[in-house]
Amino acid sequence: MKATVQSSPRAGTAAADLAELVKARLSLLTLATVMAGFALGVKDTWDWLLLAATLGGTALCAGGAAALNQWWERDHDGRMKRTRQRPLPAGRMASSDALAAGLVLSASGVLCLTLFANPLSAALAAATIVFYILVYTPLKRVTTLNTIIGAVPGALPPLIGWTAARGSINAEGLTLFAILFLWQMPHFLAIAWLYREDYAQAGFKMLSEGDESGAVTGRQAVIYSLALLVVSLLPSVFFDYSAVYFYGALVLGVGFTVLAGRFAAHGSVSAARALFLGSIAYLPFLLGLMVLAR
Amino acid sequence: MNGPDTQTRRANRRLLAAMAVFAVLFCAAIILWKAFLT
Repeated sequence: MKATVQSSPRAGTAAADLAELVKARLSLLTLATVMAGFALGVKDTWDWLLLAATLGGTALCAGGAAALNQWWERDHDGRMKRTRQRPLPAGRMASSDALAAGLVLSASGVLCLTLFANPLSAALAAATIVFYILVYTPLKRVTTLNTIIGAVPGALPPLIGWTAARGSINAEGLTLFAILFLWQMPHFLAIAWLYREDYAQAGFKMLSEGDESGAVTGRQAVIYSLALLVVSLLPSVFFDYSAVYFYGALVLGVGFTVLAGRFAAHGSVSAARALFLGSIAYLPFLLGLMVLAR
Repeated sequence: MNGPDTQTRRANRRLLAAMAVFAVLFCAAIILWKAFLT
């Protein structure tokens, strides 16, 4: 009887493990950037079916990439406090099952985008998965440049949305890519510094390793947030975005830079957390402003 | 000894398989839609 009670999986355990394998929250954030890219890429009228298929295809790709990433890193995840309870290192899921699911989801997502959106969007989605799994993931243990390298596939999803709606890439689409690329740097630098001991224990090379004062990591965060501030104003200068966008982006960018500056100056856990939370607040406000002010 | 782990793994395998089937059906639905309704 006791064995029966113990062996009954908790209600929702399998669903919780699945959500963790596909990094459901991160994938939802990715979908939000795809939607923003789509909204900005639309020229005249909205094709709601195309939007649904684009979101569906990208969701499959994002879930597949997350599963493949966790399959690849299962041994290292087991060495980090933050990740050791994930389904693979904890032994709740067979690694072959996660690999198969990751491959099927990724292939289905790319196929879906090819069939319903266009080959360019599908190629960008495939490039995102390949770059994320085969370039960024192995380089995490080789070079501290991995954060910059990882920001490339991280910035591609809004471009997938853009190309699905527009069918091509132009300077405006590339500006959107640049905004997402630069935004990730202070965001991930703050995380890397907060969890620097965990990352070092797992063998990940991070800029924050040994940077106890946070000065080096903080300085980088300031540089990238300043670059983000400049790039985020470009749509008002070169494209048809209203003055509301210019002043809104200016206020958001200055606020974000101040948070990065506070982290560089104090190097405290609370300042790093504030930068991390600030980065999470910044992105939806900026993208929302772009969509509304266009 | 391995009971709870095996059962949890089985439950996870079933859910992953269901998700994979859903993904394939989603693509199949799109192929059919494109073939017959457009």
